[in-house]
Amino acid sequence: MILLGKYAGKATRAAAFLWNIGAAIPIIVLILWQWGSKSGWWSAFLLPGPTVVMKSFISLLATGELAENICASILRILKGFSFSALVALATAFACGIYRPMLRALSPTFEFIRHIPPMATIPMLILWFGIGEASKLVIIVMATFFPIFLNTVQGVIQCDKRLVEVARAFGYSRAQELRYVIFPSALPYVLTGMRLGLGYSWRSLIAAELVAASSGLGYMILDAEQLSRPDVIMVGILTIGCLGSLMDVSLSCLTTRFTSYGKKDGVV
Amino acid sequence: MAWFEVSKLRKEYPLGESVKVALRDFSLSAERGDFVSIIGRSGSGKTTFLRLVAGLSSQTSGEIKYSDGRKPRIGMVFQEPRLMPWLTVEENVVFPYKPLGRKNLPLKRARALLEMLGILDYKDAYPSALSGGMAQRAALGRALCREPELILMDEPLGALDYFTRNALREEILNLYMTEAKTILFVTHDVDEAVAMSRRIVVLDEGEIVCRVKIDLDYPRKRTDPAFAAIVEQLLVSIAR
Repeated sequence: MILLGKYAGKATRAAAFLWNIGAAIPIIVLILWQWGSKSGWWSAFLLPGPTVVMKSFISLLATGELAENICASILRILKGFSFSALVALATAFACGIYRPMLRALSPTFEFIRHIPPMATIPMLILWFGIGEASKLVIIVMATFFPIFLNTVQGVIQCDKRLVEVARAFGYSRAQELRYVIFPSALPYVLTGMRLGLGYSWRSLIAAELVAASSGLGYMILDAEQLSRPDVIMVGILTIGCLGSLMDVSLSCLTTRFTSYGKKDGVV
Repeated sequence: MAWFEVSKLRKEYPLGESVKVALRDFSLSAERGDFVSIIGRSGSGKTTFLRLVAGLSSQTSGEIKYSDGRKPRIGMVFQEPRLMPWLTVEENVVFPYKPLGRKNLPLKRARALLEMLGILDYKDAYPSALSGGMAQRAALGRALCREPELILMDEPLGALDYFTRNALREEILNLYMTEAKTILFVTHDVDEAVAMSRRIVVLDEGEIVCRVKIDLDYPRKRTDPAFAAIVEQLLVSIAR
């Protein structure tokens, strides 16, 4: 036990050390960035220093331009993601429960899944123009498969013996789905949503870079045409921060709903 | 007619090209408050019989009837606890009532059962934190919470260690004595069956090969010559 305790202590110290290193990396990068730009290691036009980027950030905030573009991008994500999640979940549960449907849809889904959403942008612009519809289709394409595939996996992996328990207690098929299959598949569903949200964010920005009149991607493209690398940096950093924030939120939700009893000891 | 009656039950499974007969001409009856054990070797059809009674699969032919014409409330205990990992012990115990909604859950009864089974302190724990014996107690609580008229037990003590097994056996017997439920108990442990049941049915390759009525008083002692004689009789019928 003493030996175990000794190793446990070492492991905790190592984890704390790594966590500290992890937290220090962005600070170190920021310091090097500022130092490099001040010392003239690179052209300030190609990569402006953090203080210049911060000034642009404040000015974009003050004019409301940044908030407007963030709202435009997030609204697209919300629309596209919720529609895609709804369709993917319904299809995945139907396919997971009724396997012939999965077998029937698999070849078509496998074909579509391997087409990068970005490759369809020219066709989407032809069909829908540069309006909202093309961006929403991109988001749906990027989000559908991670959610669908993870959820199907969750439904298939549901322990049949637990479903039997419900049946033995007189549950109907709909009650089995609600009280056994859904909670059992929930960790997979949330993982799929987390992946899907990341993909949708990335593909939306890419789509906005190609064809849009608002959004963070548009802001970056516009800044490139106006030769404003500081605004480009603001756009890039905002995308990173918002993406991380969304991921952390979903990660917290996943932990909240799927970590049952993991902190308890074992009797 | 007895309260519970099974007549000429037959169950066939497809097995590759052929058909495996798991139960043949199985007839059995039980009155309310009966404790019937079904014993036999592995693969003799014991679990198949319980699954048919529970409605988890359907028979090829034959009938399962109740004298009052309706299917009773059934509580089932499986060989493994089969607790829902995302529910606490208390939530697992009230699982049979979950579709009724949060407000209608019989939490009072659940707590009384947990206290009787000695796991009230663990009502908020998740199954992953429980030992095998505790989890099986929670599964027993879940079966009893529904106030079942018929309890089906499929080797509920099979996966437990000697001491937990003895303790839980005592608890099942106490429950039987106090609540007078009808119990169908599947086991491959002959001593266990003799110690607990009023009647024993021996199954071999899907057929009943022996029926024994036990008139010994509870608690039964293994050292009792009558106990030993019944065990001997059952072992002979299984070995035949």
